[in-house]
Amino acid sequence: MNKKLLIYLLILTGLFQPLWAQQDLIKAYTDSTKTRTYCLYPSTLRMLDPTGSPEFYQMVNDIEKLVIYTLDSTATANKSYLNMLQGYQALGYDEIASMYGGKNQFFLYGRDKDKGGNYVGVFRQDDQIEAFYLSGNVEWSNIPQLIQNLQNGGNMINIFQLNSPTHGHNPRDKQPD
Amino acid sequence: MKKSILMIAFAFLAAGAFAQGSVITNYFDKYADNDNFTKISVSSKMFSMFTEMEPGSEAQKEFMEAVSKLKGLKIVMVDSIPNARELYKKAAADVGKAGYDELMTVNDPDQSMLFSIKEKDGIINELIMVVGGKENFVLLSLYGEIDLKNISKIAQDMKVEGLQNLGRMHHE
Repeated sequence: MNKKLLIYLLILTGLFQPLWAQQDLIKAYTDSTKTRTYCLYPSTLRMLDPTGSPEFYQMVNDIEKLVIYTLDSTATANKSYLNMLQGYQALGYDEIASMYGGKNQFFLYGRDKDKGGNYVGVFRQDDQIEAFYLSGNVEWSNIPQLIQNLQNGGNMINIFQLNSPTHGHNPRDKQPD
Repeated sequence: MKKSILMIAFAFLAAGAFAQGSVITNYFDKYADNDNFTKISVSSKMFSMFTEMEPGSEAQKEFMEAVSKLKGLKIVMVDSIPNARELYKKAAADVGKAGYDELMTVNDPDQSMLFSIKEKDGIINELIMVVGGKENFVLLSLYGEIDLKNISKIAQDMKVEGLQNLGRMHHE
């Protein structure tokens, strides 16, 4: 093969592979571990603010997509989500905050806006576990408001009601008698 | 020969520089796989978030200013272990050996506390807190640019278990 062409190919694969790989990592991981997926786009996220505030409207417009996966009991048991998060670290995501040990855990990773933004995280409360991927360039300062709106909009999408007996239920899990 | 001596001297200097925060890092590593111990880590990115937020009140503004200068927070804690007192003594000794300056100790029959700092050029760049009760133990390290006057504000507003003990330093 022409040496020049080979170099071009190496550069191109090096440049584009990480971009493809970003959401694929969590997708591949959750293919075998998810029980439920919530996929929220700006149009659905806007519904979380019934007051129609222009600031919230602007904020959700910066979000390309927010995907929340409810994971099954195998993820809780084998902590395989840690490998998935390590994959994101290898792609240049920095740890923003983490809490582990005990039954409540959370991990939040993100990249600077100038590096493409995006956040990925895992939240675990007792035996319920969720992972999320947020693509888009959202300002840090807007994250608390987004979480608040997601919590307030719980009646509609019921994302954060982790203690609800039906939430995160895996149809493959054995039912209690 | 001269080169070797220089390299050895440099290695010692480098080791000294990396030693900052080594106590908490050692405990993080030691109990990494022990699920009885909760490990919390907050990076500078999280603290920098506060610089971008619009403060609603004067109190919020003061809190945000104080927090925005912080570079990180690490906590190792456990709620129910039988040897919490021994763990406290060991951690307090490790902090002393690592060259921290003792700021305050509280010896209470129920719970003991130690606050120590690392200071450089008049700026506190790490505050370490060790708490040992009958069954509970907390090792907390707060690093960055720390103003002791703001510690109680940070302690009150960041509702992290263990961190509220920092507020006692301001009052006692």
